[in-house]
Amino acid sequence: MRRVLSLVLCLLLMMSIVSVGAMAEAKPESITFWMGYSQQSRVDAMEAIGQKYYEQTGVKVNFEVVTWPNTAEKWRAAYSAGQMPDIIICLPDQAVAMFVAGATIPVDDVIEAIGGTEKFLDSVLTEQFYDGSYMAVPHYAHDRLLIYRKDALEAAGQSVPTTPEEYLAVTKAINDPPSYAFQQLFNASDYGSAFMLDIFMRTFGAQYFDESYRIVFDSEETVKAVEFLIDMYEAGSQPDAMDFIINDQFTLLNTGATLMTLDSAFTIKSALDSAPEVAEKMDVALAPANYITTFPVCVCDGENAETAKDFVRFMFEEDNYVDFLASYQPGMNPTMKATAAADSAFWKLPVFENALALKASQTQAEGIEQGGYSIGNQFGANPFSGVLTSGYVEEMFQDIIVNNVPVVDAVKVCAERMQEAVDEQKDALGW
Amino acid sequence: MMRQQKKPNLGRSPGVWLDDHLAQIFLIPALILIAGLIAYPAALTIYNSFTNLSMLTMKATKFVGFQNYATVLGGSEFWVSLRNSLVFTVGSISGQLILGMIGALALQRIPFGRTAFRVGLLVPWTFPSVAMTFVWDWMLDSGFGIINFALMGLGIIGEPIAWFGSRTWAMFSVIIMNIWFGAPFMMLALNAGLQTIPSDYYEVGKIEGANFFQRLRYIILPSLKKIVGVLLILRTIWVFNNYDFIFLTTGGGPAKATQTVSIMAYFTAWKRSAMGRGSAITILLLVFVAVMIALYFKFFKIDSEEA
Repeated sequence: MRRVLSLVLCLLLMMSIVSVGAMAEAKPESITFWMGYSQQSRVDAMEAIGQKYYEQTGVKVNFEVVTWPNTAEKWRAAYSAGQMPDIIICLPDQAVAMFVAGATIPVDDVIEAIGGTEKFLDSVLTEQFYDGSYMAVPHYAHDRLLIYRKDALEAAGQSVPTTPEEYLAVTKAINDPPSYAFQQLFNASDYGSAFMLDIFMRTFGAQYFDESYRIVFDSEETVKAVEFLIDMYEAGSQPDAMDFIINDQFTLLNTGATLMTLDSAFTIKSALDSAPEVAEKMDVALAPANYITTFPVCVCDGENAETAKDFVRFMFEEDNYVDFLASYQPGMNPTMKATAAADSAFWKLPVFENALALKASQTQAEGIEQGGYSIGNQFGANPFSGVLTSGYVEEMFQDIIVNNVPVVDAVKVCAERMQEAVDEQKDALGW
Repeated sequence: MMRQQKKPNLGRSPGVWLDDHLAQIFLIPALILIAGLIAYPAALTIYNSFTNLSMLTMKATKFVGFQNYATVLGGSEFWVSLRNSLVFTVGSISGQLILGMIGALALQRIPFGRTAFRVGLLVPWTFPSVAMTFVWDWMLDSGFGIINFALMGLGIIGEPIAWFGSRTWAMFSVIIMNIWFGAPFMMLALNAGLQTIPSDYYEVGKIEGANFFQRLRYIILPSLKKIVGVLLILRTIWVFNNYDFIFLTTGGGPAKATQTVSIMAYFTAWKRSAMGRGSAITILLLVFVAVMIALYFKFFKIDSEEA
């Protein structure tokens, strides 16, 4: 009897060990996905892809909209509380921060499962590579374009500007308050002027960092670029530039309060939807430098990581990927070569029957093809680019305009403040 | 001397013990909640303020003692922000109190439809701050805002004013916005206080021949002293810590003209990843508000029985 009992107990023990092991490898019932896509069409597209995945695998994908600015705070709170989701789509500097903190894991295997790095456009992978591995898969990309009112340029007998000098000349020629030529975005809660300055700094041969991430902002070239943007402000912007943020661009363009700006094709989408009569008068061209932004998909370190990786791979299957891109056009350009190719299903989307939508997307594609980077990423992804978008540049412009601080002095102070912040971060990282 | 015999504790059944300690037992959930929601975050913030906690790595690698406090107090930015916080708080609360008092007195005189008026005047208080700041931002826009349009139309100003974009007007504008938002709350609370003043007081005043200002001085204000004190305490805490109105309009600018201590703490901790230093700023803010509240208590004698 005792033998039988012992045998039964052993069997039960073995079964429990096996079942626990099986549970550890079993697919979860659901995974959680945070995304900055707040527009209903993008939410619907992502949910449709999630539904397809559920039908194929039985794993439900719960999408939660977390706006781009909120992601920076929310992931940190979630990470501290051990409540991270399984997948996050965020802004590039947030992706590095999460990776450095150990909240997300490398996705080299996901890129391999999608078909390898050669499946992606060259310029979109640079921002995803950090410390020897890929930390994210770029979902889509966009480039900052020159968006302008062709009626205003025609009326003033101006052609499309390409150099800083031409930009200033056109700004002076078309400025007609309350229709301002080129509104600046100096609000310190945002990074509107940091990115705008970055584009023009490149044309003047200036840069924020050197290769060892030492701030080299305090240079003659930077001073020239800052003076240029101050001239642009004085020639074609209203004083409220002090409180304008990037998202104000949509309203400023759609109401005719600005006639020219540098922004992505998302602004064209907004105009086509909200102010078609204004959109008819708009046109696009490449900006003086290619400021390319990618939107990284990151996989969080957790027990559902394998399933999360599988869903990311699924998102990039051709049909799913084009369905997602179709949900908001023009604006989101493909990061994959096959989808970006001229004969792909992407370019046959009905939205591109509109000439402006097609031109905006094609111009973005041209910029992405040429190559470029977003602020602070000229040497690849790094943890310090966030310093450049922390309001220092905006405060510098405010000091120059409001407190009449000489440009040279303001640039020097700004460079010192940024260097101090970079040093603190290097210290925290043990660099 | 007879040895006193120890009484047998026959009547101390668990039921009796429970009866005796029921109040304390009922307090336990609340105490746990307070500990979890207030004491723990506060203690954690105090602890963080003595470290070099970075939001980049989410780690503190060093205990830095009072270095964060020294850095904050040694720089001019904190004092500029503190001055701005004071101006914003005093300006907003005095405006809210005056407007609220006028509204409350006016409401008391309305013979009918008082509830409808109360609800109507409460509307600003019910606005989500994002929607409210968005509307104010556009109303005060220098290029196409309706305020400039109206003032220029009336000939009051010759050229558009950059309400949020100039050093002269930015603080004034956010204060006006906050007065508009907070006055209804004051009005409602003061109106409720006015209902508690016995009508005999007014009648005596009438017999004595007191005019409106004398009634205000000798009857209304003394009777409302405690309510005003409580309102000032609540509003001081809320306004001094307010972050969203300013962040969503001026972002603390131009050139820090509207940067309050709350905005500075946010910029330091979140935008610039220095959570250790940001925590030190919030602790300093806490100390300052606590001192102000203590002064209110003393001046308005809120915890005394005296009417």
